[in-house]
Amino acid sequence: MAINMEYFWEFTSLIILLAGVGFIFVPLMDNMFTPAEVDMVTVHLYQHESGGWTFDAPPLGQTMEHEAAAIILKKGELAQIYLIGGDVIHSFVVPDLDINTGPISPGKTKLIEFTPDEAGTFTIFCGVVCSPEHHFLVYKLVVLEPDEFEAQVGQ
Amino acid sequence: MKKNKKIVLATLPLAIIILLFAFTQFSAVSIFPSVSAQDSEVRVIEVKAFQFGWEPEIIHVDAGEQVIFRVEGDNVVGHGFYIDGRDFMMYVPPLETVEVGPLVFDTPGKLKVRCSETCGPLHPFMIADIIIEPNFPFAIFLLSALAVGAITVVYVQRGPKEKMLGVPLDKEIDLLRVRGIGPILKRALQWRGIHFALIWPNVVIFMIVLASGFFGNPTGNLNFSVGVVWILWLTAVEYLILFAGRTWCTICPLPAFGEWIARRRIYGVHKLRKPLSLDRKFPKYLDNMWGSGLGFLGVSLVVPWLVTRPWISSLLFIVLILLGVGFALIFTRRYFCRVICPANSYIGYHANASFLAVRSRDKSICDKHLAKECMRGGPKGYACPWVTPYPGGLTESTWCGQCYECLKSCPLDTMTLKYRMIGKDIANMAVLAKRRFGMAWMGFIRFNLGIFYELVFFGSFWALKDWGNMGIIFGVNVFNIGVLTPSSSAFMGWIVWATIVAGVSLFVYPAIFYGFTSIAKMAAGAKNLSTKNDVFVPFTYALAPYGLFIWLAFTLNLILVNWAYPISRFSDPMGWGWESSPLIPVEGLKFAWNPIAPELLPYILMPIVLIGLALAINTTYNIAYKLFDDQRMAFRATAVMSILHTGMGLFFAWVIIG
Amino acid sequence: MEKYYWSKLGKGSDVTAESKLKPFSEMTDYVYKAWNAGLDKKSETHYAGALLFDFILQCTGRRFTSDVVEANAITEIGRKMADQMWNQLDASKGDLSAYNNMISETADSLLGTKKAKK
Repeated sequence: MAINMEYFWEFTSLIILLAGVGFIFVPLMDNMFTPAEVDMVTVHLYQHESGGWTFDAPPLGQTMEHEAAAIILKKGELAQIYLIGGDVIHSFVVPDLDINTGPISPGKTKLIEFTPDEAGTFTIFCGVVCSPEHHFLVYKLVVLEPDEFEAQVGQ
Repeated sequence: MKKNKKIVLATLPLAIIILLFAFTQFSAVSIFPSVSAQDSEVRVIEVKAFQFGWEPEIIHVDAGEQVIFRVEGDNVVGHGFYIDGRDFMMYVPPLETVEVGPLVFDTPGKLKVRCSETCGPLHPFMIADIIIEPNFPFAIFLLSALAVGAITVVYVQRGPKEKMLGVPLDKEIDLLRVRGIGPILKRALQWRGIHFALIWPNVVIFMIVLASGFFGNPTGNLNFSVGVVWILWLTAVEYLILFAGRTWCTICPLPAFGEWIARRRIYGVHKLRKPLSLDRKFPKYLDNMWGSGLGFLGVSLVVPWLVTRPWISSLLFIVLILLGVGFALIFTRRYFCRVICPANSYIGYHANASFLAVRSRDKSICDKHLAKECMRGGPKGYACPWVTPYPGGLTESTWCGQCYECLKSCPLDTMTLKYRMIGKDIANMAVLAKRRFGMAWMGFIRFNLGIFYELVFFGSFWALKDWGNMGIIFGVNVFNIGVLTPSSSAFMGWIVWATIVAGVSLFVYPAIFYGFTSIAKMAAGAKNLSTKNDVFVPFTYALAPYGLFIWLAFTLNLILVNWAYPISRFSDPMGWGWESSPLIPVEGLKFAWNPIAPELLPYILMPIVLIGLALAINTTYNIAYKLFDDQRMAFRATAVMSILHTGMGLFFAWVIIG
Repeated sequence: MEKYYWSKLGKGSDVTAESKLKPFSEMTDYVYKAWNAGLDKKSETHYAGALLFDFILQCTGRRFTSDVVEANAITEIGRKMADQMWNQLDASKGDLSAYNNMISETADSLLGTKKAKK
C-alpha cells in the first residue's frame, strides 16, 4: 500500500514536470497572443541582416520570403495591416498609396487600415534608416481586381 | 554607552552619504554666488550618437550654466537622448540633428546621458557622462571613503573580540525554532516534495528562456532570455546570497534533470539504492574552486556578447543542462555544480559572507552519532549530493548547496538553518586555508570584475565596450547566427579586452594584494610566518564580503535603471509584440523603459560599497587576530591592508561620480 | 544478545503483534534485495541499520528521536544483523534455505523474547 502511494506521487510529479517542460512550445502560441482578424496581414519588422521583414498574410497562410515578398489585397475591400516593431526602429511607407506609419519602436505595434481603390503594384519601403543594409528593405504590395483576387487567392 | 557606539558605527556610512547628498542638493548658486543662471550665454554642445556610444564620452558643464545639446543622429539607426533626472526622451532620427534645451544643471556631480530608443544589442549600455563642475560631491565621496576606512581601523584598534562591526559573531538565531514561522519552515524543508515544488517554476522559466533565446527577437532587451536572466536573475542572486545564502542553488533547474534521472526519482527516496549512473569516483585533484571559477572568468571574457545576444545565452544554458545530465549519469552527485557551473564559484565563495547558513544545532550530538545518515544517506534522504562531505560538521558555507537533504535524512533532527552576523566563519576558515589558492583567486576575480563591470557597462568608455563586443551591431537568434563574424581588427580589440579582464583579475591585482600582505606581515612583525604560505591566502578572504557588496551595488544600478525590461518580458517573452503570455495572461503589465531616480544612483551605491569596505577591514582584523593571536600585531597588519581596501573604495568613488 | 537489547530499547509496549516484526522484516527484505542487486556490502549494511531504525521510529509514531544512544544502538544492531545476513547469503551459493532458516529463527527469538518479557 505504501509503495503504491510512492509510485503515485512519482507519477504525478512526472506529469507536472512534463507540463512544465511543455512551456518550451510557447513560441507556437504566437497566433493566440497576436491580435488577428481573419484578413489581417501581420508584419514583423527586422533589419535586413537579421532576415528582413516577415509577412504573415492569412489568405495565403504562410510567411513569405522577403525577396519575393508581397501583400496581396482586394480592390475595394478594407485592408488591415498589423505592424510589430522588431529589433530597432523601422517605418512602413508606401508612397504611392500615401501610407507612412512613422517610426515604430521595437516591441511596439501599429495597426493601419485603408481601402485600396485602384489595382496595381506598389512598393513598400522602410522609411527610417535601421541598419547598413536598410536600403534592401523593399517589398511589393499588389492590389488585384476582385475577380482576379478570387481566382488567385481563393476564399 | 556601548550600545550607542554600535549603532553609530553601523549607520555611519549611510549617515555620511545622506549628509553629503543633502548638502549637494542646494543649488550651486547658493553655494557659489559667483555663478549666476542669467549672466552666461547659452553654450551649444555638439553631441554625436552612434552604435553604441556618444561623442564626446565625457561632457563638462558648469553648474548654473545654460546649455543646448545639438544631437546629431547616427547614419544607420535611430537613438534616443535622455539625461538622468530629466523627463524628456528625445528621439534622434538617423541622419538628422535634434536640439535639446536650453537646460540648466544646478546640482554639481555626475549625471549620465542614456539612449532611450532600442538601437541594437548594446543599447542599454550606450552611456555618456555629464560632469557638473565644480564636482565637489566627488571630493566628498573620497573623503567619506577615507572616513569609513579610518573609523573602522580605529574601531579595530580597540581590539573587538569575535565581533563584526559591533555585532557579536556568536549570536545566532535558529530559524527553525523561531516562533510562528519556524515550525512552518521546518515542515516545508523536511517535506520531500519541497525540492520539486521550488524547482518546477524555474523549469517553466528556463523552457521560456530556451524558446525565446533560440527563436525570439534577436535584440536582447526585448527577449526573455536576456532581459530576465541578465537583469532580474543576476540581481536577485546577489541579494539572495546576502540574505539567504545559496538559495539560488536550492531552486536551480540546471542540474535537476540529471539528478532526477540518476536518482530515478523526482519526489521520494528510491528503495533500492542503485543510481542510474556509472557512479564513478570524481578525481580529487579536480575537485576544487578552479573549475567553476575559471568558468566564471571565461564567461566574463565573452560577457558583452553573452548578456546581449539571446542565442548565446540560450546556448550557454542548454550546454549547462546537458553537462548537468551528463555529469549525473557518470558521477551521480552534484559534481556538475561543484566543478563546472560558473555561478557556483561566486555563489559559494560569497555564501560565507551571508547571514544564512545550514548548520548542525549541536555538534556534540553529531559527534556521538554513529550512523550519520546526512553523510551516508538514509531512508528519509539521500547522502549529501553536494559532497560537503559531512553536513553535521559544516563550518563553512562554500560547498553546501542548501538542498536540505540533510534536514530530511537526519533522524535526530539536528540540522537547521541559522541566521547570524556576516562573516562568522570567515576568520576560522581563513586561517586553515593557507593553500586554498582557488578561493583566493575567486576573491580577486569577483572583486575586480564587479568594479570593472560598473566601469564598462555603466561608464562612458565606449572603446572598452566595443572591444568586448567585437564591433558587431546586431542582436542574434538562431536564424541569423552568421552576423557574429568579427573582422580581424575587431578580434584584436577583443584580445585587448580579454587581456585586461584576465590580466587584472589573475595577475595585476593579486600581485598588488600580495605586496600589501607582505608589508602587512612585516608591519605586524610576524617573523616566523611566510607571506606566501601563511598570510597571503587568509587575507584574501576579506574580499568575500567586500566583493559581494560591490556586486550588490552594481546589480542595484542595473535593476534601478533597467527594471522595465525584465518585467515586460513576462508579458512578451519572445519580443513579438504580445501584450500577454502564458506566464502572465493579463494585459497591461508591459512597461516603457523608465529608470528609477538615476540621478541619485551614486548616493545609493556608495553607502553599499562603504559597508563592504568596513566589513573588509573588520574581517581582515578578525583573520589577522586568529593568525597572530596578538592584538597589536593584528591591528598593524589590518592597518596596512586597510590602505589597499580603502584605495579600492576611492577608485570605486571615481568610477561612479568622478 | 543484541536481540534482547533490541526489544528492550526500541519499541513501546503498546505496539500490536504483527507490526512488532515490521522493522525487522523490512530490513531483511532490503538486505536480500541489495545483495541480489550486487551493491556494496559496507554501505548497504549501514543503510540497513538506518532503515531498521527508521521503521522502528515509524512504528512507534515518531519522526525523530533526541536520544543519540538509542539511535546508535539500534543502527549498530541493525548493521550487525545485516552483516550476518549478508555473509550468510554470500555463503549460501544460491541455496537460500539456510538463509531463510536464519531469518525465521531470529524472528522467532525476537517474538519469543517479547512473550517471555510479558
